[in-house]
Amino acid sequence: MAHALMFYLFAALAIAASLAVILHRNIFKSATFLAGMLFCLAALFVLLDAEFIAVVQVLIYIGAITILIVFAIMLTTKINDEHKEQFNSQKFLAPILALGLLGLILTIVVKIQWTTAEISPVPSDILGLIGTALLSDFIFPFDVVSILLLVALIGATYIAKQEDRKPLVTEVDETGEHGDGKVKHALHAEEVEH
Amino acid sequence: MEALMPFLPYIFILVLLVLYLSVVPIMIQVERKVSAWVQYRIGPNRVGPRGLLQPIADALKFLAKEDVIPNHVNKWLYIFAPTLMVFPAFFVFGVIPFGAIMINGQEILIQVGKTNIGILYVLAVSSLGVYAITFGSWASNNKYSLIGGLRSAAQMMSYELPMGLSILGMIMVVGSLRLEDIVRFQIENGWGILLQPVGALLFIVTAFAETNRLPFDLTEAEAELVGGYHTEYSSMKFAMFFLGEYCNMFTASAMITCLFLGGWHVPFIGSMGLDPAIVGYIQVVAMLMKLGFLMFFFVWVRWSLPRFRYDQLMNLGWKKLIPLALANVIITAIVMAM
Repeated sequence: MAHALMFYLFAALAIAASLAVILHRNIFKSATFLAGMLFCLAALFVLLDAEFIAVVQVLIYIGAITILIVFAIMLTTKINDEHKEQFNSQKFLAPILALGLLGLILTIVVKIQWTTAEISPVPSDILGLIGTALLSDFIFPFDVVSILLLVALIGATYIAKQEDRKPLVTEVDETGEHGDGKVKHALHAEEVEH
Repeated sequence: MEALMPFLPYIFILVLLVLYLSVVPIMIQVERKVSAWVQYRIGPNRVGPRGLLQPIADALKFLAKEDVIPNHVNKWLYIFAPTLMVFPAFFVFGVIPFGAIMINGQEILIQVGKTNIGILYVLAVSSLGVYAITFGSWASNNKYSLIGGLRSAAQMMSYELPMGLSILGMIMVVGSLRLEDIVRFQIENGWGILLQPVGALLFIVTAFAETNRLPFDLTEAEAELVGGYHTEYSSMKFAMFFLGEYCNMFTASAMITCLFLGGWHVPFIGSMGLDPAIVGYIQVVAMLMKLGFLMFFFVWVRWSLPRFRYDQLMNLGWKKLIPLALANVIITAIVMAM
């Protein structure tokens, strides 16, 4: 009973928070609600006895990804304008597609014969099992994901390096005093090196 | 005694909560006295005998002060942030084992939550601490606060990686994520600082960065940022940030003790022929003494070292600590395979 109550509480909170993410006009608060929503999901995982997934959810999605989003929002000026248009030009097509997808999912849910089985207790060495599975049966997808991440990493570094050079050249202020003078100097030295 | 057994976890929660809350005023006094000692001053000496009642006066001041909420702040997040600062700090202590005592010939671990994923849980929950600082800094609507919050977010994200990697070596040696297993392994095979000296060093350095203590306290950096993320905070809300910082320090000390200083283990106590019941209590005291020393160490370092520059901080994290931690993991793997 308590279990079911907790489930409904966190499920309702998760839905409310995800609605707040898309409907709130302030983008920083949207990010806050996103973190809250992910936390509710982690709580649902705990209720399913999946402690490991819950903790990883908190560690990666809340502790790393959402904080990066928050970081990007804080660095971007004028993004917090509450009078900005909230929807893009797809506001007629998108709901139709979303409703279609919802219909598809609902048909699947209704059509499938859900068999209920006794819940087998979670093995105590669940982490060992996950590790062994990842490095034996699922070694190929595991490697593909690793390479994908490596590619993303290299790509990000390359783009960041490019961005680094361009704006500096154009933004050197002629009338600038100390600080800008130094930038100019450094740039000049770099050009000489090349 | 028998009747109490089912309530043991709740008793532990109560005892540990009181411990956590009482550590903070003690640490504030220690911080002031040690800083005075390092700088060849006397420190607080007016309130009570030898200034010992100073923390109580401080607490009363925080409680009695007017609670100002500036007009330009984002009210909800402004109030929410200090609460969030204390939450992860208190949440983490649930998995930290403080010792094993004998009750009716049965060994009982002083630990609230027994979970398979102890260390991951600590890492995950303590990674939430950065939200308190970013929310507080953003909601304050103040440029100094914002810069402090940005620095903090970048710093904590950068140092979480070497922190996780530095523990990895120890986890590989022990083969378990449970903190109590790691302590038991150290009791049998020697302390972690001897088994994983590089890992221990990296973890201690990153612990300083994660708790925002000097030499990594660029989020506060009073000389350049006024007060950083808590510039706009006063009275009890400011005290909550303070409380969170000291609780985080306590948690970091507990993690260092459990991972690398043998937890509650006292060397050679097994060969002294003492009653196991007494040994249990001695070891709990030993654990608290280790924690006390590490807390003192945090304070000692704060008043001895200057602050890093921001680019030095990032260089240290990404270009030195992460490669070193990776090398440590690889070397550990090679040694274990041989």
